[in-house]
Amino acid sequence: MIKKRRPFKWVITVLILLILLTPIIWSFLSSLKTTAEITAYPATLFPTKLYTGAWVQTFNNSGVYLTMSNSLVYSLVIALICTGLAYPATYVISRYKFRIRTLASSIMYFVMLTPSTILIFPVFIMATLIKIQNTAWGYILVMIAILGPFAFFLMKPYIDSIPIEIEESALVDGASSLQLLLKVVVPLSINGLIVTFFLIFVTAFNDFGIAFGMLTSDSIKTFPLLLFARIQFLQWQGSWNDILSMSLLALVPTMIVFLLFFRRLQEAILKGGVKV
Amino acid sequence: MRWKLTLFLFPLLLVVSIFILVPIIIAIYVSVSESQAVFDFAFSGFRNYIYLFTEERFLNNIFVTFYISLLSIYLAYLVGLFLALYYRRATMVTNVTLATMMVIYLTMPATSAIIWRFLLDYSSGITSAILFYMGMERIDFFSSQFPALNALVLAIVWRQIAIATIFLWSGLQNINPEIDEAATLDGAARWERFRYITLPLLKKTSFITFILLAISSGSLVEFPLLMTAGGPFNSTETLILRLYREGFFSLNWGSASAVGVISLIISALAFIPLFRGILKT
Repeated sequence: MIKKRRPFKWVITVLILLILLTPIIWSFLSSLKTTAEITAYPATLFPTKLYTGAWVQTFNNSGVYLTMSNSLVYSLVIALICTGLAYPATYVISRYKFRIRTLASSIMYFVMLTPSTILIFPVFIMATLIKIQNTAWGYILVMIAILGPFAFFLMKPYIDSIPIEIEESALVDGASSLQLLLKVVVPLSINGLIVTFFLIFVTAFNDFGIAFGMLTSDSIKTFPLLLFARIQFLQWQGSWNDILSMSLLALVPTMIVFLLFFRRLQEAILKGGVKV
Repeated sequence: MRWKLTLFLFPLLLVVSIFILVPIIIAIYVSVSESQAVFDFAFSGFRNYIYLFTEERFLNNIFVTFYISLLSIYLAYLVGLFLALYYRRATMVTNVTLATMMVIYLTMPATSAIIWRFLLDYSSGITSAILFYMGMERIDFFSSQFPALNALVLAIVWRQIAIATIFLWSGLQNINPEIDEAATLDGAARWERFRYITLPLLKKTSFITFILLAISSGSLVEFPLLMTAGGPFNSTETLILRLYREGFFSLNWGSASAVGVISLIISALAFIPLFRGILKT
């Protein structure tokens, strides 16, 4: 195969990425403008005078800390329990044939394919009836029920791709079922486990729809709900810089986690592991 | 075997059944009930449904949902396919692009809705500024139906492109490049190779990509709620936004449940072919 060198591919890439990232870059630059400048027409590209007031205000807001830590704690607990419950379930469905196997996987796919925003109202009615609406645990349980099938969907190809002969030989060597799972299957599908954990964490952290129905008290609200409250409050006063700084702050935790998992994710994508 | 099933499978199945399947049954029940109190059931016939289907606002909700979903799914798929093909070979450039795509994909939907609302703003938006420097009239995206709908599509597609590119790219990596090379030697043109080799081999990945795009296109409540708030005059209100408004703002449990059940049926109908395909594999 003849290798072509394409120096202009870099130029095109930079252009494409610049267009794709414009929303984020432009909002960041705008969050450093004064309120007068941000509402002026036509808008300027760079702030004429650097104004950090909006960011200072965001960092001095106690609601930001409260909701951010709520969000982080919820999504961490959700990701842990969800991966923990979905992993063995996926293993059983992937490996064994039993009577309700088709039913079980049908339920999983049904929930996975149904947008969670459609499900939230029915869930809200039931949560109200059994009095878990507006509690942190109620929210976490509902999120696990909604994201569990998604975890199943993400994990299945990884477990499917483990050759069954490896497990059989471990069984012949006298490994118990639990040993088999923990010492053979888990190490072989560790990438899948990590990718699933990461994606569930991010999905839970970014969730707005479910939290909107499940959490109503200010003390247990998540960060996206705070954003919603603020935008209603601020938008019509033109203080876009406040809203923008707060919205951009929401990207920081996911980006940190993304960088932490970057190698694994890249490996998973490069190997074509995101296949189904 | 049996204990393993119980221990491994049932916890998840139980949580899913209790928190998803039981509520759906309750919602169907509430949607045909007379009063809001669940334990005080009186069958009201299909009043809630008849009311909705004779209402112009609800028909518009359905139209808006289809408009946004179909347009954003196909646009994102096409752009994603183009980018995935352009960056097919794994090089440094590809890595940078894919990492950027990941960043966009991980952006909180609420944040992207707010950012796009700001970008397309009539006075302080970037579109207004660009049009101004090009000497053209600026557009007010949020004062009439179709510009507002297209603004929503734009914001959703921005997010979707990332998903489409990542998945299609990773699907392309599973295609053996030798097939392509053999076809090149046989004198197949670029378009022919794409049409008769790459595209058929990419069928399964495309299918999965469509599922993922469909799930996250019309169903996110953040975009209509934070960008247009359904306005102007409810003309950009999606089914989901209607559901949230009836359920959480107006507290009409009966009609909210009816909207929920209708949305569920629509999404189930849309997904039946996909569902069949998945179970086969």
